[in-house]
Amino acid sequence: MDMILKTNDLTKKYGSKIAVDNLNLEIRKGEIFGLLGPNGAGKSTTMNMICDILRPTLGNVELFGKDLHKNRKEILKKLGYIPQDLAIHGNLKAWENVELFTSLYGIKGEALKTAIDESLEYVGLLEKRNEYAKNFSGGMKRRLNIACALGHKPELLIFDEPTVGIDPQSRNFILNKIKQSNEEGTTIIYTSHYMEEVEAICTRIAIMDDGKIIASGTSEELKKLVVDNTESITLEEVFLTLTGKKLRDY
Amino acid sequence: MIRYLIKNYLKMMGRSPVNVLLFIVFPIVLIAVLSSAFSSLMESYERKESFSVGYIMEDDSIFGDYMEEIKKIARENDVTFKAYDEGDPDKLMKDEELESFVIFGKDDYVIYKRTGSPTEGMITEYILTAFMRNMETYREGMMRGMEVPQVELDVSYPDHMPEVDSIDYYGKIEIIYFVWCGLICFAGIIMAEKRYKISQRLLMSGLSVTKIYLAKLISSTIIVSACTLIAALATIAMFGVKWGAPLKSALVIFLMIVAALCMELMIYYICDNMVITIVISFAAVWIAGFFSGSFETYLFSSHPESTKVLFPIYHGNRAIVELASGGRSDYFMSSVIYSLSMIVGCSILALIAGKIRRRGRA
Repeated sequence: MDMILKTNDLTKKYGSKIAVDNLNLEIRKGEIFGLLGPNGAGKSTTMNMICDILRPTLGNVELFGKDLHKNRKEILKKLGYIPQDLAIHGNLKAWENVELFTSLYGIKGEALKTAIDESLEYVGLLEKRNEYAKNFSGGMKRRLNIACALGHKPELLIFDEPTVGIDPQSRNFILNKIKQSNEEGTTIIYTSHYMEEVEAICTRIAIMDDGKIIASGTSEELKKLVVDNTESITLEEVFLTLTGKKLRDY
Repeated sequence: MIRYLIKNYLKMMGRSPVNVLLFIVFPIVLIAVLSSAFSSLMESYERKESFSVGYIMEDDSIFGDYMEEIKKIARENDVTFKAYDEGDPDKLMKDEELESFVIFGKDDYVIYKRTGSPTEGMITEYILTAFMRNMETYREGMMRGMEVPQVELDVSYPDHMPEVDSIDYYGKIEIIYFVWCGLICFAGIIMAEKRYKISQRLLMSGLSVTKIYLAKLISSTIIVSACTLIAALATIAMFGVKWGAPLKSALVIFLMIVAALCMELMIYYICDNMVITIVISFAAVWIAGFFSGSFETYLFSSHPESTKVLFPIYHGNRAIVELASGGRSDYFMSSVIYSLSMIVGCSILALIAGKIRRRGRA
């Protein structure tokens, strides 16, 4: 399979604190890659460096076989990022939010109108297109947040905890849509604290702690790192065994 | 494609009632309050349509030869010079209803101004000063054998004293003052962009710092300009404020809007905190307004001129007031240059700060 993402000794330091420590990550086309880790493990910092929101202290990111820093504009057009925060404008209607973020990628005119409708339909908000985002429920805002990243049809979608604080119906809808996107050819990177979600949708999982990948593989492979009988243990137990039970107060 | 970004910024700002309140209602309330408070003070600046000036010419005065010419120019401006052989100027002004009095000595003159008629006294002074200055040119021309046109003065709007009442003055000044608070219309959007990481989403689309800055500047300029225009039209409809030289005035105000927004965006790009930006900006604008006549009229202000000219609002205030009262202003060009310099300087600094911050983060 083609390599979509490769990080080479990716490091991010804030003063003396090392947030990401010599990270070497490889993600192949068509994967749903789950990135797990306790708070402060370095997941968001890694995602931000992959999305060019943060610049690494050392190392580099290769996306679609090219160096991100040197081919920034070209690469970012193929990237969709769904942040944990609801990065939408409450004072704009649903379609206006999608228009705003889709147009940034150079899509205009009829193509833009089509992209808006397709994105809203994809997340089940087409009928609510003329309603203000501030009047949406938490789950609708989450879906709109996703729609805003779909308009330019990215090849790689990065979800940063997209199901925080929503009802089971919305969560189920979002997870199904992520799987559907993947089946349609989009590569997915998914970070979450909900282990069952990751186990349900991810084809490969990495557990990160203290800025490093401490384990990676399929759900089964990770469980085998802890016990032989994989049916007797959950992914959460594996996670706690590998990262420890000490509270992470960041 | 910042066209869509600008369009949606405009929609968001247009949907915020704060903008309407700040740029249309607040100036109108302030105009009503301040013009009422200062109306009696500024009434003294309204001249009488015609008035008389008494004078005594000493026998050996060098001004004797020019008196007929002075009288003629004064008459053209509805001012009558009346000759007296002798007497006390104060008593004569009181008894003969003269607005001012001049005693022409051998090679100098003394002007007496009647209490309660400072405007007419200043006009008398203006006529004599301007006439003497013109006469020197006239005499030099004559000595060189050149043909010099007749001396003509227009004292309808003497340079030193725009004819404004308190409504005309504050009707313009307060609108200019609020122009300098322009960023408030954008503050909520910028705060939301930072709080909800929307700014990160903008940056990861590949949009440059310059394009994002331009989108913010253009959209906020359009909104502040529209609100200012509505407020200015409201002052005409509600108070009968007289705006003069519309194109020049519009240019001065438009450039001030852009300059103010550039300055405030620069502060935000440097400190990356909207609350701090608003505190710094509003404090700076208040101080500038204090020295520039936004509260106490600059016509009576005791602040030194050298201090006042430091502030762009002063140049704008004078330009707008004088353009309305006299059709011209020496401060028009300085206001334009000041604003343009601010636009260029602040934009460069904002972009440098934005790029450094982006390099630090991305």
